[in-house]
Amino acid sequence: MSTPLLSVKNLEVRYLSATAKAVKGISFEIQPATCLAIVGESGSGKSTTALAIARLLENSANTKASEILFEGKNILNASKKELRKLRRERIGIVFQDPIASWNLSRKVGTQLLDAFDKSERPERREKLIHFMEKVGIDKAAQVIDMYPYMLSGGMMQRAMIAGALLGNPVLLIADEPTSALDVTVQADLLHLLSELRKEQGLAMLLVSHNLAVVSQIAERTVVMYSGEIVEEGPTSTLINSSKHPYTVNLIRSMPAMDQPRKVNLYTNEVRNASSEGCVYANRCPLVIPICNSQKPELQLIGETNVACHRHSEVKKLLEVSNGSITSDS
Amino acid sequence: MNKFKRIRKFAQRFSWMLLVVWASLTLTFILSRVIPADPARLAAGLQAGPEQVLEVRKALGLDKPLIVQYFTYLKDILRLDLGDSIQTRQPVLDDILRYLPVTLELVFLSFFIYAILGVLFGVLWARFPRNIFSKFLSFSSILGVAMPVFWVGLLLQLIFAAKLQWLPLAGSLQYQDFDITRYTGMGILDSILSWNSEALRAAVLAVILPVTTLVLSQIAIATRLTKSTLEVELRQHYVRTARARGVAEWKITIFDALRNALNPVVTMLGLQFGWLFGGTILVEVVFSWPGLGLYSFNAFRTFDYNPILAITLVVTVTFVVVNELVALLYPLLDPKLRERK
Ligand SMILES: Nc1ncnc2c1ncn2[C@@H]1O[C@H](COP(=O)(O)OP(=O)(O)OP(=O)(O)O)[C@@H](O)[C@H]1O
Ligand code: SF4
Ligand SMILES: [Mg+2]
Repeated sequence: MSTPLLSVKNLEVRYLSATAKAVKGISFEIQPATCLAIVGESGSGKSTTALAIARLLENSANTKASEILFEGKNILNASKKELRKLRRERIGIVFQDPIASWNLSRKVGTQLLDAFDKSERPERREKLIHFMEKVGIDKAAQVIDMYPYMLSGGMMQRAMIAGALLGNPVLLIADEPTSALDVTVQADLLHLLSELRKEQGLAMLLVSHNLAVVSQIAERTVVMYSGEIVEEGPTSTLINSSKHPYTVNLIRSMPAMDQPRKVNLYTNEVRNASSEGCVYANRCPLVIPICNSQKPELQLIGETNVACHRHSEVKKLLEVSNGSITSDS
Repeated sequence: MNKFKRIRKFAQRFSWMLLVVWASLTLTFILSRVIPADPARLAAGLQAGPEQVLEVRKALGLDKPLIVQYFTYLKDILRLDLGDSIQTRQPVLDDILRYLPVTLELVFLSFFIYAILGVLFGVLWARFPRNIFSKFLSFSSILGVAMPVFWVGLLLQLIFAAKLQWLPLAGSLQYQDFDITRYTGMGILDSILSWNSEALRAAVLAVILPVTTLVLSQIAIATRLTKSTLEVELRQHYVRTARARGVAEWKITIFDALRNALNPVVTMLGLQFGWLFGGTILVEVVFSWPGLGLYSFNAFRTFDYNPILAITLVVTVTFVVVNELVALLYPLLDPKLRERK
């Protein structure tokens, strides 16, 4: 394997306003020009992870990690100036909520070109129009001079993506880029993103609550639960032969890709905060006594890394129940 | 919005303004007739006998029924005849035209400095809350609100005029001391127009303490409002997006957040302008600044009611007009409103 583009080691994040950590010491890598997906239910720490990598959490949270290596440099030690340059030229970011992500009282083009020096702008502007056309915006030259509120949600997000590509990044971080949009628009945009990625040779960190979505785009997938990684591996293997009970339930409860997320299949019960046992223990149908006393470490089983004491039995039990795993006995 | 709609909207606003002005005129009239002091008695002088008082009462029209007095009063105002001042024995309009610019010099200068410093401090406070200067601001903004104008004024006089003798104790520019013409009545402007640097120096020195007093007594309001609205804006997602694009922090603060925070700030500044106008009365009294404030203070003291009515009119109209101007500013600040108009 080549050297990874991004390598995160032992990332820990605690929001200053919360008592429990939102991310509890996770590690993963992204190879150049590949897509890594982070999936998991709401509140599992996906956005927090994505934001921490771009160091956009600064004031609201306490971020710790052994290292976050990007292109061989530790982002954690980057100065403010280096960070700005990094965000302008190496990393593009697209957020979930297109309306809130725009300043509604400034023109689209002005906002997207703000980061660049005056002397650079005419050239960047041409480039922006080019990218806007590429992401499917008609009359890009006009849209550039419009205010964001004049655009539809889908258009706003397309413009956002065009803006993220403007600095020729090598890594695109997309935090649920489509979940606030219409289902038809969702599919279009995801298709577009994966096309662009191949064409531009971009690596991508795609955050999603939906495994069906990422199965079409991501080479590798990380499954997060309660701030921890419970399973990680090549997307198809992970989906077809899941070794963690949570992953199985996640797949079973997924709506098809073209259905909006409506029902929350996960009860919002208080999670076990104790660091002793397995994070999933109080909701796991396969829980056995050891799960509560000893924490399962991530270990490589076949092609995937999985953190479960009973990973070898999951498949067997799965075949028996032929549905969502409900009970062990 | 088409032209017709715009005109109608403007007409609506304008008639609303007139209504407010009329209401305040009426209120002032009622108050002036209800207060148990007898203007005729005061006008006739303390030594006057009952007959003389009666004569004055007739001459002033105060013997007529109230409703007649009211209409005479309105009619006179429309003709810009504001009556005579008992004290100065001059038409009130002449007095006002003479004293207004003297006051406006204070008000304009204070407002200008107030707005700039208030917003600047608010921005610094919101951006660097842990900075020592911000701590000082948060401490002094409580003090600033708690300190009355005249107290601040007296304190400044004591330190900078009486003790250190850096600045004049009171009064405005003395025109007769310098060879300058009274073009406008505003000391600084007149010295510049007369191209007299000596006079300009004196005019500036004279203005420092009263302006500082006015600014100090109000600055906390602008600072705190700017700080709190800006804080809210800085927490918005679009700020994070701008950061994610690599935009410089100062640019985000000013062009994104402050710009969006400006609406309430501008409204507040408009209201504060009216307040500064009222606040000058006290400041002019403390600093013997010969403007409208001192004039009206004397009018109140002697119950010289024509000037009182006239000054109420001036203050109200200023207030209403400034607020309307502020309302006209909104669409410039907010493109969404601009479109809807
Ligand atoms: N600004 C914040 N302050 C305090 N706690 C926060 C903050 N943002 C997120 N959290 C908490 O951190 C945890 C992880 O949140 P995060 O937003 O990373 O989850 P997520 O996986 O992105 O969920 P979603 O699918 O809803 O976006 C949650 O428990 C959440 O309540
Ligand atoms: S370790 Fe135990 S509780 Fe945790 S997922 Fe595996 S079986 Fe369930
Ligand atoms: Mg999220």
